[in-house]
Amino acid sequence: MNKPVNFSVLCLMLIGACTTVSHEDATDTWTTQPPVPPSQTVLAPVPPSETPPAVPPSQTVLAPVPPSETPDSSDYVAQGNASLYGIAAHGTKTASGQIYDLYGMTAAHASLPLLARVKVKNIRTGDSVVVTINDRLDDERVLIKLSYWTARRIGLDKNSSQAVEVRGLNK
Amino acid sequence: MKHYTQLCLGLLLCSCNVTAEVVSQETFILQMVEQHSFDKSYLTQLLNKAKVKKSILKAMSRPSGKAKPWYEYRQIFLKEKRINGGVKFWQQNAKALKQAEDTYRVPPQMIVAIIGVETFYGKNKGNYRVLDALTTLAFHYPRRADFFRQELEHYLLLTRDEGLNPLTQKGSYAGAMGIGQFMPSSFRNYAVDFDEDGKRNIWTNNVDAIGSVANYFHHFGWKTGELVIKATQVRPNAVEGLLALNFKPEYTLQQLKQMGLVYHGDEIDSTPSMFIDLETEIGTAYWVGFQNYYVITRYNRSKHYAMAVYQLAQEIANRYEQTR
Repeated sequence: MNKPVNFSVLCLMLIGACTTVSHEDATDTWTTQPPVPPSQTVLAPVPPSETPPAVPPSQTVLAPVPPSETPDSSDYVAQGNASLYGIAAHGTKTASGQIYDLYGMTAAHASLPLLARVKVKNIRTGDSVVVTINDRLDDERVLIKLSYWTARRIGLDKNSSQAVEVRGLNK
Repeated sequence: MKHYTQLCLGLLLCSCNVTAEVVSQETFILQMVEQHSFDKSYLTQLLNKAKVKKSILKAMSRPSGKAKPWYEYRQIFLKEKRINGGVKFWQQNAKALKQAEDTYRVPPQMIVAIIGVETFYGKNKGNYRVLDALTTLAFHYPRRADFFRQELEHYLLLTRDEGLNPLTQKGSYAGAMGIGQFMPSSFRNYAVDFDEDGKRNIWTNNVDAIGSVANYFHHFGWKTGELVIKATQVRPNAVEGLLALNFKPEYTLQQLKQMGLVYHGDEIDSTPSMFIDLETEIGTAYWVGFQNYYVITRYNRSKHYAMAVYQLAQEIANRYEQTR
């Protein structure tokens, strides 16, 4: 998946080719709640020098960041909606080059550096989990897209509130 | 827990010969006298003190074919309590785990996860007398009598070699012993005196248990830093063919791709690979297993067991890292 903008197209192609599922799309976005306005509530704006600007989907950096250099994203805090990957994404390539695994502790985000680690908190329950950003997201209605198991870990499923807080970590 | 530990180590070494007749206890004693110079009256008295346990025979005949689906099995082993217990065990045994990593090139999280799945870090080591378990199965369980008679032989030899009382050692109902649940044959082949106190104590000495598990993995070919599994996609019409393959990494990635695996990883086509399917809450998902995955199955050949150990290891490593 080189270009996130092509993600759904690719997924649709793959669905034709893969056994797992009868899903229509690789992403299960919750639709039970009104979508969040495109401008997510960024609680602590990050100084421009510290964070790369949100990368437009067409310019996504393809070269994976070496694992030894986990980017520092500790200045970042935001609240918004979470979605989760569907099973059809299992085994597909993410923007980082890593293969998505439904049991992986990973997530997709629009702008945080790839391989940054963030703490995702379910605002309703307070449960949190640390994930590695390894994929890009271009759905403006969601702040972060969580791997299946990460979402389960903090008690998110299609029937519960999807409001989360995302907080960057320094390693 | 107990009924998961039954499967460990031992089964792998079983050739599953079904004997028409169980070798009698008397014949076994004569063989031990002849081959290993045991005293006949000592051994007769010892084995007469062993109790035949009906509960063991009942447990062994429990149908294992109706196994839980993966997602239920997973829930048992990937609980918060077991993950946190692993972090604590790691912290408490950091020195031995580091030493095991340096000596045998097996990462701490794998050793911790094995011990976590087998005995919850030494908490559930089994309450059967090993002599009762092995005698029961060697002489009253025809289907596996040959295997358990050999294990009984190994057990009598190891207790003699180690200066242990054969009547008092405890284990699982299949005779798996100690913190890492080693069968007697595995004890004799792979247990190590890792703290060099003159004893291979896998029952109460975490250092020896850690070294022994690491040695076991090392012996079966664990390659540090290499992949264990990777998620994959599959062409729908290829699943049946891929599932019919042997559960060993005796195929190349290229062969699996030719059979319909849609693999997006960067591994080269010649990589030894095997195919894994697991039933998740949201549908069946597929993985490619590599050499290291196969090594975990040498501890217990269940695909569920190997994946649970690997995922538990990942979770423990992740959390251990955060506590530092």
